[in-house]
Amino acid sequence: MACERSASERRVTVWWETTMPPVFGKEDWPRSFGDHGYHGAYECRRLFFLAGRDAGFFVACHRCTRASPCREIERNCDRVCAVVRELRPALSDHAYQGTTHRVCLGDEERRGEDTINEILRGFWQAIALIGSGDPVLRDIVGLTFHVSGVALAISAIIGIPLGALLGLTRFVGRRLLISLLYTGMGFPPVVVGLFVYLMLSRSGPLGSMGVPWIPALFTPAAMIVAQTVISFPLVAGFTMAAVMGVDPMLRQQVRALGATPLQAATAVLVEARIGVVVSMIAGFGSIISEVGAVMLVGGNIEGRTRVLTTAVVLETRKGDFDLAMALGIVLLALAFLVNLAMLTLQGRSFDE
Amino acid sequence: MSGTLLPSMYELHGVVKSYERRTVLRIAELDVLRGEVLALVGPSGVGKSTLLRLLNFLEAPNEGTLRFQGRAVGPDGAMPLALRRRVTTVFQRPILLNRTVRTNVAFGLDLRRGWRPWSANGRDDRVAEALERVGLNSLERQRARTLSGGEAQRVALARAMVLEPDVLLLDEPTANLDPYNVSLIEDIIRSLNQEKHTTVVLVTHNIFQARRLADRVGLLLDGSLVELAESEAFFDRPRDERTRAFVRGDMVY
Ligand SMILES: Nc1ncnc2c1ncn2[C@@H]1O[C@H](COP(=O)(O)OP(=O)(O)O)[C@@H](O)[C@H]1O
Ligand SMILES: [Mg+2]
Repeated sequence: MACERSASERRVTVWWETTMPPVFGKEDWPRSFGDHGYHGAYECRRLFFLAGRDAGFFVACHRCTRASPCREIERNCDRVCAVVRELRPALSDHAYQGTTHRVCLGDEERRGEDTINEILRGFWQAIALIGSGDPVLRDIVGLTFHVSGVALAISAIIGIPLGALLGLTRFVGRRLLISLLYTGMGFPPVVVGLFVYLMLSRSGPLGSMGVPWIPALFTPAAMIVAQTVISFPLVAGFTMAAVMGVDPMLRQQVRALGATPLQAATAVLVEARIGVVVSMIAGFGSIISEVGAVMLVGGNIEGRTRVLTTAVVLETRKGDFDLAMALGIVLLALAFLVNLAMLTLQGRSFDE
Repeated sequence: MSGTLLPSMYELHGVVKSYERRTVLRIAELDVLRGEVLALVGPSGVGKSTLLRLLNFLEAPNEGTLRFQGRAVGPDGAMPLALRRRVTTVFQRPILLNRTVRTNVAFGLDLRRGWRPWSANGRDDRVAEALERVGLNSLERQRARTLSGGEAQRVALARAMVLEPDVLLLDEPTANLDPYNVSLIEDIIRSLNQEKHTTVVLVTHNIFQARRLADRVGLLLDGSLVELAESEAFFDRPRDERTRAFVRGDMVY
């Protein structure tokens, strides 16, 4: 859609009214919109879709955030209504659900609307969000760490001994196991998600058994299962490679010094410690940044199964790029800090 | 067990070791006497290291019996950890852990201590004493990776000595060292044998070294023991033609 010279383009996303939570109540309804009647207002950060009584969606515009109901909306109303009228036929169509459009806005809206500013604003908002200890963000970060942390711990408990076993011993079926592991290392997470979904769904082989400790779909436990399946082959595979890289004579020397088989394996693992830490980092990186599986298995339910990645997806699709950026930056920073911590730990904790 | 004090540390009878049906070692009879320094010489690939692996209970023989202080280890017999912990080996290449010198030397003690980090039981003193013996107590905190070849081999020796083993097995311990470190290490081995009465089995292809250190010398060729005699007899009055050739050949070299 070409805009007039005086207008700038803006992307908006169309949402069906029930897919987004109302952000302000009837008392905030602009009086000049009165003839449409209040039915709920739905936020898209700076652009609002106002659902009217007579179906369809109406675009409104404002600059405030979710936390404060908007008063400015009345001031901008004329222009907003013009946009609304222009878009109305298209937006009233159900088929546009979740799609993004460009709309034309007045000069006023054009100030600092380029991408660089979007990124900068995202950055500042990220800092503001973190600084303010926003409870929603805190829940999302908490759940992200809970899910990925537990999944990584389980992956380490399974993966490190498995990797050591494959790297240090020879047994029937070892080659088969290794090729399965390599397949697992490159498996698309979304397929893992699908698989876990089918397994755990109420009609699936595991979900239908009704055993209490088998997690139900759309719970953090189900997300942990999916992420464990994704990350343990990475932990095991990298551990195996690290262990095989250790001088084979070391194990003989260690045994000659009186090590039990378990002590010898531990000594080799400790010698390969950098590789083992890298295997953990690889495993953690693969799950903290993973969207497809947690989306499928967890369902991105606000306050229950929403993690950083799925929140970024949601905010981006809502057109709320600032918040998406902020969440993305939080995700990056957390991943960076965790990796830094692990590397520092392995550098420090050995040798007195 | 030390109460019985058999004259022999090891007694080997008809010991055979094969890898993938290829026999690499076939020892009809071999006694290692308590408190002696026994040198095993021979060109490379004749099974010297394989024999040391059997003596350290790292591998079991395919046939025959190997007695250690009266206890037999047969082909099917399990190799008890208790036996393995009375013996240790220093290999040609010092294989140190990528940790500090002190951690390396304490390693064997820590293995025996098991999971009881609070009971130090004189570990640090013993480590310091062992490092003193090899003249490296100033390097206690250095990382093992940064040591020179001679220093690394002396650390490996300290790591073995600190365990006060009944038998010290040495697999070409000075093969790639400079003459200064060779004589240092020979002095350490000699004093260990004389002061602590540690039995030493030394594999070397340096017959001068065998002559300097050993009470008895054996020649291995193609997996079997050609001749075993007192050092003097071995070098001056070899009985076997092949021993004569080996001694002479190496003298020329
Ligand atoms: N683990 C093994 N698997 C197969 N063959 C081996 C193995 N270890 C040693 N050998 C073979 O046994 C023979 C003797 O080896 P080794 O005892 O190392 O000789 P040396 O120490 O006298 O040089 C060699 O031919 C070697 O190839
Ligand atoms: Mg050898």
